[in-house]
Amino acid sequence: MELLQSLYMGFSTAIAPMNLLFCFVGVLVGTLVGVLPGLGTPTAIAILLPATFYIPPASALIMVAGIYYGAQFGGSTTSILVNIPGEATSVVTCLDGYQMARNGRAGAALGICAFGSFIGGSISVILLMLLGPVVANYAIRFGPPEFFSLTLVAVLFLIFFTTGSRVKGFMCILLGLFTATIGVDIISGVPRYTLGSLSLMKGVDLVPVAIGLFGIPEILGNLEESLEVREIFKTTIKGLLPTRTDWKDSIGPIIRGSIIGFFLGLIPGGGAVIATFSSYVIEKRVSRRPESFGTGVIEGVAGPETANNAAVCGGMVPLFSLGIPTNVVTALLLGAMVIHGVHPGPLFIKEYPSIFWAVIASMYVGNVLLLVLNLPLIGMWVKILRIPYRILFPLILLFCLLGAYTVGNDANDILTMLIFGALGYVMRKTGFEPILFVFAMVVGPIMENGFRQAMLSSRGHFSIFFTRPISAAICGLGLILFLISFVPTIKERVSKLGDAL
Amino acid sequence: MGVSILLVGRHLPKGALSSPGPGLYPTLLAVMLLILSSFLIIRRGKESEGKSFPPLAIVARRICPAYAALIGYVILLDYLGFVTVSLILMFFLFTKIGRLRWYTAVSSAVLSIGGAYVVFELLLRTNLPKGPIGF
Repeated sequence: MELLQSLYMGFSTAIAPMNLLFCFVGVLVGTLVGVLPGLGTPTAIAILLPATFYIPPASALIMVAGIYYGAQFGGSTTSILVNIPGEATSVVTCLDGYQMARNGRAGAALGICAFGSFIGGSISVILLMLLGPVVANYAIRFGPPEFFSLTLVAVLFLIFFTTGSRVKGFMCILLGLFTATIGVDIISGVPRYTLGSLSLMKGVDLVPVAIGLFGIPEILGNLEESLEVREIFKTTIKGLLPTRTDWKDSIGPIIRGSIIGFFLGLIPGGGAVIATFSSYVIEKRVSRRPESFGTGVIEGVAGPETANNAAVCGGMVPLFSLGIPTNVVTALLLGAMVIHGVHPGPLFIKEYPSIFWAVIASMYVGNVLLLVLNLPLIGMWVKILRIPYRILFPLILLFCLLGAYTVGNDANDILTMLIFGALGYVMRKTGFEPILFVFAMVVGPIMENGFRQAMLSSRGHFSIFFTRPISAAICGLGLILFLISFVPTIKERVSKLGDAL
Repeated sequence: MGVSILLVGRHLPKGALSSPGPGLYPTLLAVMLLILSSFLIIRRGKESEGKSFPPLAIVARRICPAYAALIGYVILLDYLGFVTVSLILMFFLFTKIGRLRWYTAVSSAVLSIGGAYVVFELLLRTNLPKGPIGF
């Protein structure tokens, strides 16, 4: 009963005209970002964060969350029509989605993406609604050692799941953690690494750094390539509503994708990308015609597309109930919340029930909006895809400049953005992951405070992290998942050894 | 970076593990960074190298001018104001890098800056820098 009352309260906030407008703007911008290759979700959120400073926290979070799950859907449009994934989460959709388009079934592929995203989003919102408060109640018992263990496990997972070198990934994390220490130390009040600069006393702002590391290198990287219009597969998009056979083939993958996506979204470093790949592999395995995967089967689109939207909500559980992000987008969401004076953590749902339930309710509303928005607007997204990059890039740069400036109405923030922009460009070229840097910068203060307070209370004994039950369980679980993730590599080596013998 | 962190932070009190000072945590990070850097130097060529750098012609024709224009933007922003300096930047990017005709570039620049001014200055009431002509 209490749950329904809370949900009612959330809906009354979410459907207030102003919040509905921000939700609409969020999913619209998110879909646009997803559609445009070369403008990722973290970049878009970083650029648009300052624009949310002027609106109430609930509206801001509703809009930012809308961008997040809107982008998951938008990325699929380019995968299907151009064979270029708009987002990393849409890579798998290229395999069967593009083939469906080539077979004249672009409409069905886009339609099942919209419905799958809607159903996956809705199921996972229900799971988030049920699981979030339970985890938060449990997390009230968390102290500094638990928060340190949790952030450490999250960071280790991110390093493990990084696509490139793990050594370089670890170095990015260390640099991000160090950047978070710049400014006045909140425990002792001593300025650290400010080099005498007054503007560094408050620390390095997240927004210019994120825009610099994500936005500028993306633009400079795209400038290296052709600035002309991308070639779009020429087909008439018809039959957006899935047929009875399409539904029969897709309903299983959609339900499985929802569950896989939600639970993989909970794991730090896992998130939407792994959820889509896992969903595709599982669908191929359970299918009665696995050999047809890759030739344009609807199950290969429905499962992963559902899983990526479901993973978005999964990632919200640790964010809302523990204050720990699981990927760079939730890290930026955490940054947005802190900027608005809202501190997520075990007490978040109790202290800010109106914001929590409004965001939950807005996700239901947002999923309906995505469905209503995307089915009739697919033609418009295709037209946007035809805009040459030489017209788009100055506009994206302008948004980057405005985004960095409006953080503190200070030209120095643009300079910070440009410095990190150059750094980000070089990092990409040398195999360092800017995503890990930004993630570490966000969790840095939680990690450092957890470490210092835990050390203080244990009088310098590291055993505190393994003797307190919750902290030990987190470390143990982290270790088990870490070891499990080595299984495929070990299996591969063993089979190679077997072949050699 | 590791050496710089150690040098700049050498005056920060480190405390002890039982009572960590503000300098202890950054020092630990710097030491780990130094160890990993050494490891990276030893394993040079064995770690993934990232995307390749573009040909010099592309760097000279597109990357450097775009980045230099952004540096110029920061320098001139407080003197010329948002509207003037942004118009110059957009015109430069549209014509020199985007290769648009001058009249298309002018109209695109005016439209984009006008739109940005309306949204950020008039609707969101951001205090964009004003130049000698008042905006």
